[in-house]
Amino acid sequence: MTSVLAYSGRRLLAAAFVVWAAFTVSFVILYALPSDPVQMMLARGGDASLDESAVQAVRHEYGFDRPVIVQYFARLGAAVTGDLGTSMQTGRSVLVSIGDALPQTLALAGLALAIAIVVALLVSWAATLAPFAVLRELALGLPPLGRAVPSFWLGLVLLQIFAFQLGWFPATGNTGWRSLVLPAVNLSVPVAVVLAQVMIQSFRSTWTAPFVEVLRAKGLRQFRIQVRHIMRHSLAPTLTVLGVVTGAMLAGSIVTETVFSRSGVGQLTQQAVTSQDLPVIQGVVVLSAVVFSVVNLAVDLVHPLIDPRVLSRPLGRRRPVAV
Amino acid sequence: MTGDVTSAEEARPEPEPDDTGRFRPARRGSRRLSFRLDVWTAVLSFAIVLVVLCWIVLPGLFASGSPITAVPHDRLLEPSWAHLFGTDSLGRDLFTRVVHGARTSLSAAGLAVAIGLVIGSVTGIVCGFFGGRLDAVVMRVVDVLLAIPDLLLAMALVAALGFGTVQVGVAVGVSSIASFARLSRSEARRVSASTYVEAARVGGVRPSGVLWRHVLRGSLGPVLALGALEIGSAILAVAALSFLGYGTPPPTPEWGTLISDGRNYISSAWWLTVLPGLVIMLLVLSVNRLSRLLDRQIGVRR
Amino acid sequence: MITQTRAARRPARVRTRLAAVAASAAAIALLAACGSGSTAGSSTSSSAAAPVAGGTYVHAIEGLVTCLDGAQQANHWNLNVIRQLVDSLVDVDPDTGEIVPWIAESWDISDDASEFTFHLVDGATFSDGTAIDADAVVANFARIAKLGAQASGASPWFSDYKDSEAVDASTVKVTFSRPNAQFLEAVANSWFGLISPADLKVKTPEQLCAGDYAGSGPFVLDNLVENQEVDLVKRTGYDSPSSLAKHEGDAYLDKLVFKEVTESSVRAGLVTSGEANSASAIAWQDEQTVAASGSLLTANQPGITETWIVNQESWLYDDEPVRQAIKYAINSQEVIDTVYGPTFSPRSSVITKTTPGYTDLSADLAFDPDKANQLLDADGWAKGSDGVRTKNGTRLSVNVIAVTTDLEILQQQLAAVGIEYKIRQLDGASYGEAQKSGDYDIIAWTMTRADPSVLAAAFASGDGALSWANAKPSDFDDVLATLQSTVDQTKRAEIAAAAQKYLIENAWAIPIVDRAWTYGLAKTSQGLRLDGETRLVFYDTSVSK
Repeated sequence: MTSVLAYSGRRLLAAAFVVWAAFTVSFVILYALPSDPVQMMLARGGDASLDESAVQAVRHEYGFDRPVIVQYFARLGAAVTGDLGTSMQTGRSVLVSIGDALPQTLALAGLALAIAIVVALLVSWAATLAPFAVLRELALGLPPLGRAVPSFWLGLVLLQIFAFQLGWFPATGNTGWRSLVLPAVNLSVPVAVVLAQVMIQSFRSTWTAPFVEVLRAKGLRQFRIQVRHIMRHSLAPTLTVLGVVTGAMLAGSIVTETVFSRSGVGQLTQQAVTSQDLPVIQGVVVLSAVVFSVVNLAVDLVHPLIDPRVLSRPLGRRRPVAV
Repeated sequence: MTGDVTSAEEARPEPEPDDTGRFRPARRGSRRLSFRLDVWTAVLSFAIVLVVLCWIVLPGLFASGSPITAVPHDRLLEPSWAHLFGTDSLGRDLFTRVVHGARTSLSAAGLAVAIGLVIGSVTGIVCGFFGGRLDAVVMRVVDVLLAIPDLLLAMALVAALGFGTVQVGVAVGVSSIASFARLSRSEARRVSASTYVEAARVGGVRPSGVLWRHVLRGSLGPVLALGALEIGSAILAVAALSFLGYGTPPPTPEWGTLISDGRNYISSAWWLTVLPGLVIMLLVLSVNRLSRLLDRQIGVRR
Repeated sequence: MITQTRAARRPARVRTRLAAVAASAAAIALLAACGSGSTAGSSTSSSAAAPVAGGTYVHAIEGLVTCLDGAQQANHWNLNVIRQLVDSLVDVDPDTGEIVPWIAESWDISDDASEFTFHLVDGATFSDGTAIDADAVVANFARIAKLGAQASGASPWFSDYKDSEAVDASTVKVTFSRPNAQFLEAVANSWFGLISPADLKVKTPEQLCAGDYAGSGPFVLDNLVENQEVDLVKRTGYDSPSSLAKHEGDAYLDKLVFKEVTESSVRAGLVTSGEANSASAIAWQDEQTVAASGSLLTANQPGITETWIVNQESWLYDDEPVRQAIKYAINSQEVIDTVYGPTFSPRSSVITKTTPGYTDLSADLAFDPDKANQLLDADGWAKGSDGVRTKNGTRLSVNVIAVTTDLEILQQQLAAVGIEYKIRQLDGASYGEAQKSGDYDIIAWTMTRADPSVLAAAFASGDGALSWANAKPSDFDDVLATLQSTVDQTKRAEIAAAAQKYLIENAWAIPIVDRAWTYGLAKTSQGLRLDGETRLVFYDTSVSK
């Protein structure tokens, strides 16, 4: 039992570190690099006059006149209590803006993940276990194709065909499940590619594993072996990439929500970068780190349930190398 | 962009298709089929990459006329023999713009890969070789950078640096440093642990000499292979950022901007969005295909 | 004292101009109907079935809603939304230009146009039940005065306001320290829309911007989703429609949704697919598809044309040859042929043809690149190897802030005479920021207002919130002030003509094109009309099957 607690404790600490480090990295990028957010922000407000004293006053109000180190700790302190600053563009709390935008993106990501899993399973099966070589070659060619297609272009093509020409789905908007389908399909492509690659590797290596030979010797039907055993054993490696996959979906939502004019975290980010709204951008980066950590934490906690051997291994990198 | 998760696995040779055929009679047809396909796709990819490289160097050879001069009475013409890709809303030949845009978009992608490759692999090799606290600290930072999605990191950099082709290239490059660092570090560690490097160390060769002559050379292969793969995702990332509006301002053609300009004409002039995107896709497919070929060569030599 | 009732105030010339608006709208609608072969009805109310009450109506607007308080902003699509929430004292007939009664059933203006007395109708109420009486109107004017420069929508028309008093329960007298001839027409706009005094007393300007008030209009704010949509619902018990309205009592629509859609193709797609009943700003390339499935409603925009205004604080204002060269380098017809389509008209003055007081200055606005080149050569700007002119090592480069879609063709026209223009692609929000920063040589701007006093808003010196030209005090201020204070219409037109001539001859304002607003209507949209300031009015609108 203590090993489980120690394991969880260590993972929690690692997750906290990642979030803190992401906060720091984004602070360095956004605030320590040369730029003048004050001018931009002042111009947004209703101030008719932009004299030097007004500029200084606002600089002071936002703390830009303090040394960088002091700013850093002030912001960090605020962030720990949940205050991620206020948007320079709208004046609303960053946390609230992100919180408002999150449900839309979650719905989109959820459907995209579901589609991606189904598609990846189908493609992986076709690429490895299908009886016809032609089918296998074709299916094997799909992940590289999915990797090469520009996501924003695919979204526009989907829009053109299914929304404008065929009229099956609405071209924009956030209401109803029908407006969710095309964006979810668009977002699912890069995710499906990643999952398919992992699954194909896993199917191949599992197919040749000794226990499968035993099962065949016992006389189990091919299909049953495939589904119950091989696919289940691919669960673990699939789970390990889940953290990166959710990150990919967050990034992908930026493009997808822009193309389909949907509201959500992605659109929020795109507008924030266009108007150089630094607090919002930092908030989204921290969010991505939080999501990544939470998902990996969840995966790490679930992993021992699937494979108890994990607990006894030293706490090194068990994720794929380039992750 | 987002597709680089298992790039290291991709960098290693794939298991041969025959592994799955254990309980099926090995069909000679299937092997010949996949071989022929391999050769043809490699040749085609090579041809496409060559053509696009020529676009960068000698655009005038492929597309006469100006990519920026508006010709109002030719606006929004469908693709035809006179205008291979049709014309845009200002009457400019779209194919000409795509050809000239190759230079802008691909130089940004090239810059990105150069930055990622050089800075990332130097960091990784140094850490892998020397190990110790330096390694621990730097790799922690790399881990964090890997926790943030590439596109998001690039966008944060763009927000700080400003908009433009160079800035986009730098942003994409910096966001790819982490993957290069990781891979080159593990390669450096592998090479450093090998016997001949140990022998060099024991034999009195200075650490810098060992680093330069042995570790670097040994790690270079897989790193270059990753670099080749990264070109494809750099092209996509640069296109995405310029699509979102962070690239070079008009009238200079840039692939991502060409597609976003076409958004307003999505139902009236389909060629404005579809054709440039098709070019990007074919190029990235070809680059990825060639990088896998390169990778297999390197894997064989190891 | 001149007593004004429903008698026409505008000279006949203006009446014909505004009649041209209605004619062109009908012509476009007919053309669209012929082109599609369908019997898509005229753009105003359907002659067929009687309007059916109830239903939800969706209209797609072209920008993001930033403020719902008319006094505080002058943005065209915001005003289209605000028009449904607040009533005005008077209304303007779009066909004749006549001022007609609304909340004020009659009015008196002093001879020198410095005192305006409004006689209010009985029984008009705000949505919180308070009566729209003289005290309420006084409270509205007082708060606008108090806002000062922050009231960027109302303050340009409100200068020299002295005070207002409630003479009795239904009579309001507004006094100005100087004559304010355009005030009566200004009051018809939503800038002076009436808001319940209870809210004016306690709500901050930010809250009012968020729509948190009880208005006087036929709709009330139900829900505001930032950057997405604004939902209005019918106000039950509304009974103060304009005299131009086609019915009385509550509005027909139960719910009115404004969807904020910045992509023109998506807006058009929403109308053609039927997801929206109408949409603003239909682009040229989508006009055919929209007309085929519904109809188009086009109106020429009154007021300042799409104009490049030179910032007086920039170097460009001190370099007259360059300004003049820019003026002659621009080919208005080519811009129309390339970007906007035939609903737009070539430039001929700094205010549009349909604005009262317009004068034709197209002789000085002809496309003449040779003249531009001559001027620049004479001024010492030599063409460099890359085509851009230089003088003493400085490149001839202009910094323009604009959100229009014609920038690339204009860039090319300037490049043809050796002027470099680096396009800064701005969206609505960053354009606003750039405006306020004052960091530009030229600002591309336009303003809808059916009165020549719009020139004062843009070009008068002082702290007026709309003076993007950063004008320094000069004799021109006197000209503009006289424009504001002259009551006699003929004299006013003369002064307006002189003002336009000054602006064009000095190339302080460089017009580009005369804009036309094109709205796309689906077949289900009935009764949508434009008021005299070309704003949308949904009061008589209904949804048909």
